[in-house]
Amino acid sequence: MKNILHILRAEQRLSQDDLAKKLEVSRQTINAIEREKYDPSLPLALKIAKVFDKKVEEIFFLEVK
Amino acid sequence: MNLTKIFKDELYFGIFSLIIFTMAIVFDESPLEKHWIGSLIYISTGWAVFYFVFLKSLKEHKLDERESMLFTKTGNLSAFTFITILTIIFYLQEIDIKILNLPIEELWGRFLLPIFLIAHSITGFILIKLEE
Repeated sequence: MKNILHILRAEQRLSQDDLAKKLEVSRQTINAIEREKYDPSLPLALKIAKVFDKKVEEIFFLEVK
Repeated sequence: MNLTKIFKDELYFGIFSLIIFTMAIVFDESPLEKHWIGSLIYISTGWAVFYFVFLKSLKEHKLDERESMLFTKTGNLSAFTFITILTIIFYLQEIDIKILNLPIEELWGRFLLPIFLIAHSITGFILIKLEE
């Protein structure tokens, strides 16, 4: 699954560590999500959407084959 | 909580217990079978220390969802590795080899904890590396 998390984070001038603390996850997890190595669970995706005041589908996309 | 740090601590604990258990065999002049109660207390203490130092720390430093998933994967894979090692040891018992002046069948039980910790931590490092 693709995402624009790194773009949203840069727009709000948040470091990975800052975002990790807001979401109560590790910095490595934020890094893994941004590099599309890990897909967050629904609760975490909803938390991320809430932080950036966006809908989940505006941040995460299914890969188009 | 940094999962790499957990696996590093686990590896150091595994190597440390391997050294301690090896030293106990090297410096213990009496045959193991005469001190089976002592050996049982010794190994039980090792497992108790492992539980209170490592697992308690793990419980206090809650893993997030990705780290929990990786930790579970590590457990599953290292269980396979551990069973493979035990199977090899089982067949090696039939060979007339002595390590530290003891046959393998008298020796292997002592090293279960360090072998598991080292196998588990190395598996964890590999999984984290593969994710990158």
